Amino acid sequence: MSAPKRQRQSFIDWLDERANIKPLMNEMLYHRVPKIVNPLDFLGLATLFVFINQMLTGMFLAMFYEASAKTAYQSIQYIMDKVPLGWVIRDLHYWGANAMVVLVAAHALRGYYVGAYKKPREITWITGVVLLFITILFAFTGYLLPWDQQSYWATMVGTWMPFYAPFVGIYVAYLARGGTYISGLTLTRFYSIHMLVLPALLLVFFGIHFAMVLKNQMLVVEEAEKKPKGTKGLVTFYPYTVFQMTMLIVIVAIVLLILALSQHAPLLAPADPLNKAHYNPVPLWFFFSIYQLLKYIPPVLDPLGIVGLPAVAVIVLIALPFFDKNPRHEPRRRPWAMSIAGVSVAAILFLTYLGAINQGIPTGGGSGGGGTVAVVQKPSFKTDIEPIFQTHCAVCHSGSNATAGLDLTSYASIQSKGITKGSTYEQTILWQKLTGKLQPQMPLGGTPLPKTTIQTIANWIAEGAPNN
Amino acid sequence: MRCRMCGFETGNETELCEECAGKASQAKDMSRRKFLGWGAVTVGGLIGVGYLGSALRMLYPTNVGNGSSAPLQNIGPVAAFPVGHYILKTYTGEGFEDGVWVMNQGSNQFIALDFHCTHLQCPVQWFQSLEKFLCPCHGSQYNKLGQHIAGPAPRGLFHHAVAVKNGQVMLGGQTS
Repeated sequence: MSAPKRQRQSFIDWLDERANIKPLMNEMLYHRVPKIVNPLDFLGLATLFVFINQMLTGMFLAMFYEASAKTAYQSIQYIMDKVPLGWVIRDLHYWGANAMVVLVAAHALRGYYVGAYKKPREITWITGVVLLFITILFAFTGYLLPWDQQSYWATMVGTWMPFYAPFVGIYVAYLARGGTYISGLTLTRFYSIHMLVLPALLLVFFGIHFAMVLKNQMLVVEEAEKKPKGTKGLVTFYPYTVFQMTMLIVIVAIVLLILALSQHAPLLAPADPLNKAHYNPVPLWFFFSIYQLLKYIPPVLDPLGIVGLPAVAVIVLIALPFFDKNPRHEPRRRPWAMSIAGVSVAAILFLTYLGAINQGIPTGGGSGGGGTVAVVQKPSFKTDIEPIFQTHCAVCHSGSNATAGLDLTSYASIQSKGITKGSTYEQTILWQKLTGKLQPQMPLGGTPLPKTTIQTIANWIAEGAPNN
Repeated sequence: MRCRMCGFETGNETELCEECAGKASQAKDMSRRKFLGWGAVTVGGLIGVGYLGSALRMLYPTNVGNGSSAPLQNIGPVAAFPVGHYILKTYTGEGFEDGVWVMNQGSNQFIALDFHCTHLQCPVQWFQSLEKFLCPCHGSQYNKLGQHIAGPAPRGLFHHAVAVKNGQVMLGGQTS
């Protein structure tokens, strides 16, 4: 029994003699840590695990994916339908990408909450912020690759956002696109950025981030050591914490797998630069908050919402350790830091939620139309009903190519199809379609109209759907 | 002999006293170190700028902003465009396809409007019965000439070069 042990021992000695690994091993494996760790302090590890998932699944996807406007979509279909386990790998990559964004953000919030950005951990925080933006760029560039309607139009909108930056705006937009609009050139440069540029950047910044964590140790460890009982309640990192970490990784892996097995990554119709099917662009979910904000602010403030606020957020996050000089770490002793961050996070989450439930055509027509619409008791076609049709329905239901041959832009054409016929408004096709009694509910693929708007239409039908 | 730097007797035939000679050689050494240090930084910086500059030059598209000089493309005979009606046509740029609303204004006059909304580039639709372009994303509206009339768009729709040659409608790149 002792012979193999001695052999292993000697291998480590052999390695130590040449590479001096023992000090590093001691530092990494045998430093003392609290026995019970808050799971939230493992968010960085969970992120790292999901990133490794992204690397591995990405490598295998790249073996089948063909980055050109002509072949990208078919190669994704091929991965989903023909490659053994291809769909699992793509779904793992898709859910991993979403999990990365969520976990990095949660990790940053935890760091903020415990005050882990304060001296001497400023460099850890700043590199962490950079890693957060690298993660978002990963998600943004990866989103285009399937080359379907969703990715094409979301990228069209996303790459136009820099246009609102002063002086350099249009140049940045053209540089990102590699042309006036999204094209195969955009696809190849996004693929290269996604596969080569961002991983290289990420490794550099993660290397610094991780080295600084080792050098300054985690704040929880430092605070545990300061406690009166000293190092008594502490255990060695290996194997105690390592075991807890393994458990966490198992949980994250299972969650990822369940998501991947239960819900496919979306693949809509192939990208159509002419948008013949009238697809309505929808932003990526982490742009929902900006998307929703734009509906509330007057158009003149658009540059502020699209470029200004995100730019301020970047600057504030990076410079945070330098203007928050309060040396206390406990959240209770940092009322300003806690309330400002609390309000910002709540606002972003709320706007994201509103954006999520309000996808598609904005209510009320144009920006600024977020409020509740009042029910009109005796509606007039010209002033109350026609604007509703124009805003919510005309995108598809108008002109000679109107969907289902139904043109909702003039009184005559609305009447010609008999959609307002019925003894009560509940029996009309129009009302049933708007409420979902008759599927599919209208507006197709968008949010249902507000109940108040539907009631206005119902009142109009009840009056005999007059042309007044 | 007097020291050339401090003026005190050097005590021998040398031009500098011992103290000043030490200072001078140290200063010389310092300037050499500074020179080597800054030299290395400068050379490294220049190489970096070279790579970065070339990369930007390579990546910045050459086919933007010169729509008026791009070759015209035949999109069909004038007869295929009924007067007063917008028709969505395809303009094929370098590697991309672009939707362009083209309308015959009568007497061989045409107007060609890019179908990307100037707010955030969603595709706008022409509604003959409303005589308006509507954007599905944030509700921007444009009139028959592509001028901005409502919604958050900062300006009117972009124009494309368009001309009639030998009875054929010729569509060019984006102009303004």
